[in-house]
Formats: sequence, structure tokens, C-alpha cells
Amino acid sequence: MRNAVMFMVLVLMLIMGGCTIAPIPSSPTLVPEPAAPTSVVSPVPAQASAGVDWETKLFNNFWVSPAVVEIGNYHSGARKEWRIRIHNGRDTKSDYLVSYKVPVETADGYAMPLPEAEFWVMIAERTPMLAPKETRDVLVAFAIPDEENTKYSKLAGTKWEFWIRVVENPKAMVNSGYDVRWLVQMR
Amino acid sequence: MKRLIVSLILALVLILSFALPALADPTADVTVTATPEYLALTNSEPAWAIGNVEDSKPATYFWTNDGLIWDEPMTAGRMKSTITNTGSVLSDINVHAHNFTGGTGWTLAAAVGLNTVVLKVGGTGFANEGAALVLLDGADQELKDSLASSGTYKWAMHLETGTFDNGDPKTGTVTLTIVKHV
Repeated sequence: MRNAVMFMVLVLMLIMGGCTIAPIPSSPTLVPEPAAPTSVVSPVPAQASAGVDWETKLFNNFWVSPAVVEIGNYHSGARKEWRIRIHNGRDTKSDYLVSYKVPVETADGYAMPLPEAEFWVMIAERTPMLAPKETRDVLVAFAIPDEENTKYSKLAGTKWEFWIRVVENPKAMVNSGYDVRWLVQMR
Repeated sequence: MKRLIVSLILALVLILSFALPALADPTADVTVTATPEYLALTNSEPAWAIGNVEDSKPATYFWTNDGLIWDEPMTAGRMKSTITNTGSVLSDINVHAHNFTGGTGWTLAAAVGLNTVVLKVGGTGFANEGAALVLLDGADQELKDSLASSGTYKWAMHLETGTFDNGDPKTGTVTLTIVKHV
């Protein structure tokens, strides 16, 4: 009897020592697409470099932030999200197209994405229309389905890249667009 | 003793009910990070109004400072438009275009033909006409590598038209895209 009790205490101690509570995800929770334009608090701190308030400086510009999103230690079955922030610097409303993009070139050590990679990317709002001077966060989620773990085992240990492109719907012959790099490091 | 064992079992069940989800959580060790950096650019000349073009023979048009053929190598003083990296990071500038629309549209190609045009882009430092970028529908090409924050770059275009069987006005779009240089 005493041995049974000691055994159970030992098991209890091993479990308590080996378990961890899951950390709070570092990315924001997916929320339904807002019905009306809103300016939401971005998970990315506003200041990019010491002494420069970039969002104030670029208030009259079309801008996108961040420039790079890095996903580390990734494995299929996991879902990671980040909000891309878009700002309309015009005095009139403007609409944009947010889409998956195969890179023009990749960072050193990173490979081009597989053709099916575009199906692993979900964009919450692909054609946002922003009011004058509005800033809006668009959620982008990345997940390789768990059931494809074997099929994509070749990706294990690799580094590859894809882009998310934000283009303003043409207002003139020459237009501008911004490409956010997503750098993926596989487990 | 029995009470002790029951208590221990209950404690074990409680702990496992919290621990198993954590053990099974597939996202616990996957990280996602982003540094607050800003992508932005401006371009000084938003449009190129070419006007009427020859309809019976190939013709050529330059969007340069004086409307004349660009020099070789291409110099900033002869270019038409100025790109400014107004963002916060060292960036590359890519460019792409789409087929012209309007009536029977014009297709972008490497050689002129019926309803087919050649649209080229050049910039400061391009060696010659042969180095100019030939734009094809939707295909990105690098125009400028490593443009510093607040840096500027001058560029121009060259259009060669073929023949066409439709006189409706045509509209083309050229998109400059900026991406962080890594």
C-alpha cells in the first residue's frame, strides 16, 4: 500500500515537472471581419526607429507595416497569424488588393515557395476599402494542414519565403504596391 | 490511507486535465515575430499621356525628360520620373505592367505586332537600350536594388507600337512595388 502511494506521488511529481501551461499565443486572435472601418491597435509597436514617429511622418502617404514577418520552428498543424497594417494617406477613400505573391527574389538562404503554398495562406480581408486617412489591420493567417505532414515532410528543416502584396487600386497609369516578406523556418 | 489515495487520484486527474492540452498543443513552440518597419514610396509622375499614335506602321515613343530617346548609359537628368523611398527601410523597387485595355486591347510582348506593343522601363545607370526592362503582363522585374530610406531613383519608359485594328483609346497601368532589401 505504501509503495502504491509512493509510486503515485512520484508520478505526480514527474507530471508536474514535465508539463507546462501553453503560452499565450504571440499573435492576435482571429476576429470576424469588422462591418465598419475601424482603426485598431496593432500588435506591432508604432515606432520603428528611435526618435522617428513614422506613422505621423507618413500620415499623408500610403504605407504598409511591417516589412517582414518571421515564423520560426514551424511544423504542419500549427496556425500562426499576424496583422498587416495598411494606411490610406489620401483625402479620399481608396481600395486595395491584398494577395499572396510568389517572391521576385528571396532572402539569403530562403527558397521559393512550393506551388501549393498559396493555399496555406488565409487573408481575412482581400479587398479592403479605407476611408480618408484611415489605418486598418488586415489579418493574415498561415497554416499547413496537419494531415499533410507526411506529404510535406521534405520541408522539414528548410527555410522558405512567400510575400503578401498590398496594391492600391489604380488611380493613375503609374501606381504603387508594397510587398511584405514572410520568412518561414521549418522545424 | 484510503482517503489519502483517493485524494492523490483526484489531484492526478485534475493535473492531467490541465496538462494534457498543454502537452498536445501544437503551436506552443512556433514563434512569429515582426519588427515595426514601414514600407512606403512615392512617384513624381503619375501618368504618361501619349496622345495619338501611328496606326499603320510601328512607331516609338519615349517618356523621358524631353520626350527624346534616352541616353546611353542612362543618366538621371534625362529620366522622367522620380521614385522616393519614403519608408523606413533599405528597399528594392520592382516594376510590372498589365496589357493595355480599351476596345481591342494591346498585348505586352518582346516584339511589336498586330495589337501588340513593347513597353520598356529604364533607370539611372542602365547601360543602354538593351538593358532596359521589357515589361510583360503581370511579370515583376527589379528596377532598383537597395534604395535607402529617403533615397530617390529616376526612371523612364519607352513604348514601341505595332499595328492595330481598333482605334479606341487605350489605357495601361504600371505598378512600382517596394520590398525590404534583405
